[in-house]
Amino acid sequence: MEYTGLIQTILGGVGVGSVYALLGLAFALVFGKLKICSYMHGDLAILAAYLGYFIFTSIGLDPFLSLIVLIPIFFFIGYYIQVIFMKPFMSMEIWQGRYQAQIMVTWGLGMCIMAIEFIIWSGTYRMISVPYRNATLNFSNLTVPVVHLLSLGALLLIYLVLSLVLQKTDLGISFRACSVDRITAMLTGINYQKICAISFGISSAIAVVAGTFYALTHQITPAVGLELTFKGWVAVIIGGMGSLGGVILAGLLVGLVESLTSFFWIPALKEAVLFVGLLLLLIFRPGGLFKAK
Amino acid sequence: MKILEVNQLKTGYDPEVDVLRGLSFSIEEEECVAMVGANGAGKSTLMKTISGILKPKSGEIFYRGQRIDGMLPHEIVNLGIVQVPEEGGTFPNLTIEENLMISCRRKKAKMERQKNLELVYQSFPQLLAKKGQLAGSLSGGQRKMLSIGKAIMESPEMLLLDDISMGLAPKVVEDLYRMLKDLTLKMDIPVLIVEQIVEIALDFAQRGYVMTQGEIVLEGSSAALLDTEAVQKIYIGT
Amino acid sequence: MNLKKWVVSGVIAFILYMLFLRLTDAGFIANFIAYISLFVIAGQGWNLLGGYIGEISFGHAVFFGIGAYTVGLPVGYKLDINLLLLVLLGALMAGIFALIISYPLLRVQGFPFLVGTYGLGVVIRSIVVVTPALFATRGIFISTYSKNFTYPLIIGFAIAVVIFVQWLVNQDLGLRFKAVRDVPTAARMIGINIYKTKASAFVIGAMLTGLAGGLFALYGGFVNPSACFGDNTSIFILLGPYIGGIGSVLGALFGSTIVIILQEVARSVITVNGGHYLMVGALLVVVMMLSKEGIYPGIVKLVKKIKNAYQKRQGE
Ligand SMILES: Nc1ncnc2c1ncn2[C@@H]1O[C@H](COP(=O)(O)OP(=O)(O)OP(=O)(O)O)[C@@H](O)[C@H]1O
Ligand SMILES: [Mg+2]
Repeated sequence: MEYTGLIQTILGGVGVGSVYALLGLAFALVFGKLKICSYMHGDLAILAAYLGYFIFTSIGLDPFLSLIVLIPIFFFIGYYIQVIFMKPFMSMEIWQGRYQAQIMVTWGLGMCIMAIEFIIWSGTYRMISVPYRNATLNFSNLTVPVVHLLSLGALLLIYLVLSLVLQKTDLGISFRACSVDRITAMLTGINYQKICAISFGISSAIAVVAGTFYALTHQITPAVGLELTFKGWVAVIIGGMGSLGGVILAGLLVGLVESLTSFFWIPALKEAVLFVGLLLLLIFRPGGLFKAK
Repeated sequence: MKILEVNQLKTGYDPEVDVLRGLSFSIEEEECVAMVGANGAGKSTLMKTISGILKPKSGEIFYRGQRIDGMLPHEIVNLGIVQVPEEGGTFPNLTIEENLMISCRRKKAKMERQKNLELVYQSFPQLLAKKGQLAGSLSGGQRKMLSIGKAIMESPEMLLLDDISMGLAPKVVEDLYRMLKDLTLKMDIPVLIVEQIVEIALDFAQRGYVMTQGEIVLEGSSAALLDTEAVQKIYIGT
Repeated sequence: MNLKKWVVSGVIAFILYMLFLRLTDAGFIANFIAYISLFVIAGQGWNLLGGYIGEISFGHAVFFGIGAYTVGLPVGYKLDINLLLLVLLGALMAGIFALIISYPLLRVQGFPFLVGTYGLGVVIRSIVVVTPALFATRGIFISTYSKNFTYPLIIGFAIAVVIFVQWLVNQDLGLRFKAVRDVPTAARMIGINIYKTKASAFVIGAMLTGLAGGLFALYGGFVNPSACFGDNTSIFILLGPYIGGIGSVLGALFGSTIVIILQEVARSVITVNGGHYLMVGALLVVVMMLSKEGIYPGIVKLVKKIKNAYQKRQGE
C-alpha cells in the first residue's frame, strides 16, 4: 500500500514538475541563448490562468480551447514587451548591469500584472472546475490524473517542436546565430531585435501553457506568479543554464522534490526543502546538475 | 555618381570622447578605395558606423544618394552594403553550410543563391570539403574565407573589408587577397578596404585615404600615397 | 572629506525631528517617519552588497527577521533582558548568520545569487512557521518603550547608520567594494580577495538590516513570520535603494523614503488588497526605463548635462 502511495506521489510530482519545466524552458530559451533575463513569466502564466478561468466561468469555454486564442495573444504581448521595455538594455554588456536592469523592469511589469489581477479577481483562491479536473486513468492499482499526463505530453511536444525549429528552420538558425555573436548576426543582415522579440513572444506563449496547466492542478491567486517565476529559475539553475533538455529534467525534479517532501514530511516545508537543496547545489555544483555541453 | 559619401562624421563609444572627429570621404562607381592608418586610428569604428552597428553622433552617410546613417544594420545589408568584419564574422556554432545559407537574406541573394554558392565553393574549395562541420572547427584562415564567403552569398553591391590579414600567416594573407582580387573583379563592385599591411591595401585599391586619430589627413592615388611620409610612418609602425 | 557636513546635517535633522515630535505629540507623521527610517536603515544595509558590490539580494528579510526575533524570542520566553541590548545583539546575530550563509551564497553571482537569497528567505520563514518553539505563526508581543523614546531612538540610529555607511564607503574597504564591482579582474590582480570583500559587504550590510529588524520589534511591539520574514519585507528593503540609486548613500536614502511613501499612498488610493503593487511596479518600470542607475544618479547626470549644455552655449 505504502509502495503504491510512493509511486503515486512520484507521478504527481512529475506532473506538477512539468509546469515548472515549461516555465524553465521559457526562461532558458531567452536567457540561455539571447541573454535576456525575465522575472515576469510566472506572472504571465498566472495571468493566462486567470484569463482561462474568466473565459471558462463566463462563456464556459474549455481552457484548452481558450489556449487557441491565448497563445497568439500572449505571443504578441511578449513580442511587444521585448520591443518596448527590453530593447534599451539589449546593447548593454553583462558587467554594465544588463541582467539587473532586465530583472527589475520585468519584475516591475510582473508586479503590475499581479496588482491588476488583485484588482479584478481579488486575492481569493479560484479554481477552474472542468469536469475532467479529477479524472484519472487506472493502471492496476495506480491512478494517474489525466491532467498530469496531458501536461507531460504538452511539455514533450513543445520541447520537440522547439528543438526542431531551432535545428531546421531559418528562424532557428538565425536565433542560434544571434545567440553566439550579436554583431556578426547584424552584419549578416539578421534583424537582431526582431529575433529577440519573436523569442520573447514564444517564451511568453510557453508561459501561457504552463499557466493553464497550473490552473488545472492548483487553485490560483495572484501572488503565486512570483513564486512560479522563482521555481522556473530554480529549474534553469539546476538544469545548468541554457541546455533546454537539462532544464526540463530539472523542472521535473523540482516537482518531485516538492511532492516527496509533502509525502514523507510536512507539506508546508516542501519549498524550504527545495531551496535547501538549491543552496547545497550552489555549494557543491555551482554549475548546475545537468551542465550544458 | 558617388556610391558612398561620408560627411563630417563624428562617432564614439563614450558620450564624451569622439573616435571619429568629423571625417569626410567618398567612393565613386566601381572604385576600390583603401583606408589606411595606424592602430587605433578609428578605421574599424568607421566600418562599424557605415554598417549601422554604431550610431553617428553627427554627420551624414549617403549610399547612392540615399541617406543611411540612422538605419539599422540589417536594413543597410539589405541595401547591399556588406561587411567582412575584423573580429567574428562567422558563427562557430553553425555548420559551414548553415553559415553560408543564413547569409542569403536579400531578395537578389536568394535568387542568385546557387550561383553564389558555386562561386564560394569554387574560390574556397576547403570550405566545400568541410561544409557539414561546425565553423568553430575551422582554422583562422578558413574562418576568414568563410567570412568572405558569407559576404558573397549576400550578393553585395558594395564590400567593406576590415583587416582581413589580422592574425593570419603572411602566406595565407597573400592567398586570400589573390582570391579576393579575382572575386571583386568578377563581381565588379566598389570596395572599401582597411588593412594593417599598407602595401597590400594600396596594391589592392586604386585610391586611398590616410587616417590619423579619426581624421583624414591625406588622400591620393595608391602609387602616390605609398611614397608619402605619412604612409611610410604607418608602414614602419610608429 | 566632507563627513563633517554629514554629521552636522544629521544632528540638525535629529533636532528638527525632536521638535516635530514634541509639537505634534508623536502623531501619525512622526510615526510614519520612524517607520520610513526603519527601511532606510535596512536599505542602507542592502545597498552595501546590492549597490556597492552589485549582487542583488532578494532575501534581506532574513536578516531583518533575525534582528526582530532576537528581540522577540527572549521576551516570548519571559527572560528579563534589556531590550536595547537585544537590539544590538540582533544586529550581531544577523551578521553572524550572514557570515555562515555567505559561504554557499557568495560562490555564485548574478541571478543564481538572487534566486539563492530568495530561497534562503523561504527556508527561514518556513522553519519559523512550522516550529512551535519559535512561536510559529502566532508571533510574539513585546511590551516596548513609549513612542517618545522609541521614535527618536529609531531616527537616531537611522542618521547614525547613514553617516556610518557614507564614512565606510570612503574607507579602504569601501573603495575595495567598488573595485570588485567595476573591475573585478584588476581588483584580483592588485591582491584584493574578492570573496572576502564581498563577504564583508554582505556581513556589515546584514548587521545593519538586522539592526532595523530589532528596532522594528520595538517600533511595532510585535513580531511574526509574515511581517518580519515575509517576501514583502525583502521587496521593500530592496526596492528603496534600487529605485533611489544603487551604490549611492543619498540615493538609497531617498529611494527608501519614496518607496515607502508611495506604497502608503497607493494603499489609500487603490484600496483593493494587493492593488497597491500597481503603482510600485509602475514606478520601478518607469525609473528603470528613464535611468538605469535609479532616480538620484539619474538626476545628478541630468543636472550635469544641462550645466554642460548651458556652459557650451555661453562659450559660443
Ligand atoms: N568597443 C569599444 N569601446 C570603447 N572604445 C573602443 C571600442 N572599440 C574601439 N575603441 C577605441 O576607439 C579607437 C579606435 O579604435 P578602432 O578599432 O576603430 O581602431 P582601428 O583603426 O580599427 O585600429 P586597428 O588597426 O587596431 O584595428 C581606439 O582608441 C579604441 O581604443
Ligand atoms: Mg580595426
